[in-house]
Amino acid sequence: MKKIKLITKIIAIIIIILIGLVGIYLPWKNPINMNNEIKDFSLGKDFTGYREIILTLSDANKVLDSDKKVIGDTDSYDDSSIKSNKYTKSDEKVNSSDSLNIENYEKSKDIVEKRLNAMRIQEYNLSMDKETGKIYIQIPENSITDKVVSNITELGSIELKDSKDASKVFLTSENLKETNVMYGSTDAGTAAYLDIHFDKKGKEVLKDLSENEYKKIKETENSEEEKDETEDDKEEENKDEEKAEQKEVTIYMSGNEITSTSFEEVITDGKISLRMGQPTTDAASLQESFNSAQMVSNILNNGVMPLKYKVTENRYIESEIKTSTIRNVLIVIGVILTALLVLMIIKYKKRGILAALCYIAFTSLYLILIRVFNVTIAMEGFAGGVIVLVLNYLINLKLIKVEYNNKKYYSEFLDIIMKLIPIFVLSVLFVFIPITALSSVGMVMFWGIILILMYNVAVTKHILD
Amino acid sequence: MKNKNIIIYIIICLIIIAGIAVWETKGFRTEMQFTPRKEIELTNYTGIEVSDIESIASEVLGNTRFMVQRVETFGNAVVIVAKDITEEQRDSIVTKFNEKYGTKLEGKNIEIVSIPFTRIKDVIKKYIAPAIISLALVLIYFVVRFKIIGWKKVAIKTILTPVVAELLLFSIISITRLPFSRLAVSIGAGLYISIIIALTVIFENQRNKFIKELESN
Repeated sequence: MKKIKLITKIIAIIIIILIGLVGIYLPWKNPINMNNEIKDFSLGKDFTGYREIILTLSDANKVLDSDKKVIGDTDSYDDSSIKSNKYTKSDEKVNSSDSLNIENYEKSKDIVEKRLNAMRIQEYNLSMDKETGKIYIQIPENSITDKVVSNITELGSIELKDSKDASKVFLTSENLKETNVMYGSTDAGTAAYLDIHFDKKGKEVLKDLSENEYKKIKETENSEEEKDETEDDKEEENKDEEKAEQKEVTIYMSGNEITSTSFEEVITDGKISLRMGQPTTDAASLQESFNSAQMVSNILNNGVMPLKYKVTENRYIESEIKTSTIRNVLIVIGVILTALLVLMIIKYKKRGILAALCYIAFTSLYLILIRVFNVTIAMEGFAGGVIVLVLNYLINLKLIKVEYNNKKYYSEFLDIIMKLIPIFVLSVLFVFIPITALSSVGMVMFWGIILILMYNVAVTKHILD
Repeated sequence: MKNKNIIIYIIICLIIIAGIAVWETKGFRTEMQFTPRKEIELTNYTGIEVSDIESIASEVLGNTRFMVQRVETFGNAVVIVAKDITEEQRDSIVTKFNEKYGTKLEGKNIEIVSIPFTRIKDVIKKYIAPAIISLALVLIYFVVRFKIIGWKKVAIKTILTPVVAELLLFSIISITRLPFSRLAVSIGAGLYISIIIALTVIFENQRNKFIKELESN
């Protein structure tokens, strides 16, 4: 009976080992191309690759419209579009020679770094050439990479001007306190809104604009109607005049015109809400609008670039760590672990064999857990995994010496738990740190310690008994 | 035993001082991805073998450190990254590439892109705050749990051991001129975790011993 029990346990362990190291293949699901049902490892930038982006200072000239108003630069308008739109190319550069200095280069780099942090890009590398001002960025390749690339060079400015007379600038980025993104419901659905909060001065300016000149004209409309309802033609004429008199402000972001509006109500809280995208009931579209608004908010919240940059290189580069290098490292770790297990077997004979089997099954189960819980493995996470395997080996060595005595086993186990508490707390802390390298080591250690505690009570103990 | 410990401490101090001196005068020898470098991109329509490009680059660049990395995922583009690539070297690489793959690339159309260096400070700085916070947490736990074996001794060991171990690691990297890389940062993180585990085991054992002695008395 005892023998049957032992054989059953060993078979169960071998199944775990096979699942962990080989995988689960279901021929009836896809008979031609059988896929492993256990998902693959999620590898970090260190092992897969990254997007390489180079930002170079723009040497573009400003482009003017027929009113000599700056409407863009030669990076956005080529000669043919300048000609067809009857624009003119100014001699003035977007980056004046005075502005090309180390302070502005450093400031630009700092703003790019702040933006990357705000966009929660965890694994980035950033460097700058102090002579040319060129900024080099490495970021992980994922679903938001392209959005980051297209937004990272944005000027990040915000201006509130008179719609007719652009020389009347009411508010600039200097008056910006912060922006944030909110959801708002309308009859047509939900939309994402960008809330722009201005500082004290901005608050006063907005209040003044919204209760005086730029207030939406309504009262006159009503009074005109009351005067004489029969004089339709005259009324229409008056409305047209009022429309002409209606003053509006235009909001510019990064030099681009976003919207023109007048104020229906007096703004006393210094806040303007801009709807980003159309209201929708589709969750995916709403999320997309929210993400876009969040991107704009991140750009506005982290300062105005003192210089204009353009993206001159943007390509995905595979990791410099070759598959063969990873394979060699895994082979070395495998050989060391095998040697340690052989030593264990030589020293503890039958119990050694059982403990070694348990250890291999633990490793398999651990690999399954990491894959199932989608733990991103960065290089630090890899180091954390090795520490977990070493820890479990040392714990097995300790438990193997405990003979068939439950009390002693559990007292040894309690001692192990006490010794694992600090590192478990660190793992939990690291999980919540928004740096992939640390969250990776945190996750790897967290699941490793949980598994060490559960597995050694539930499996190792029973096998060794 | 005490003398032996003192000798070990002196050796550790000397290594750290030497490491700092080398770092101050020469800085770290960094791996390619942290150094100022130049790169050129080569593409074709049929696919490129990285080993072919490595042998071409080795032939042209000689002893200059370089690496070849795949670009995009179609297997038909690579970048050669090297400490320096002159226009002559680029033209020579392009000629050999054309011979190998039957392409008609022209050297003048392939830009030599300069990549600025990454400051080691920028790489390490993001780890400092988490290290301090985690060490503070561990310190509080250790001081409370192991006050029985002397909280001052525990506090000093908890603070000094990881700091000295990290300094020692980076001093060895600095003195031996091993290239500073992401691997060095990972080893640093692994070392930090291992030190915390080792300290826990040492303090727990000391505490158990102390309690046993108290009970036997």
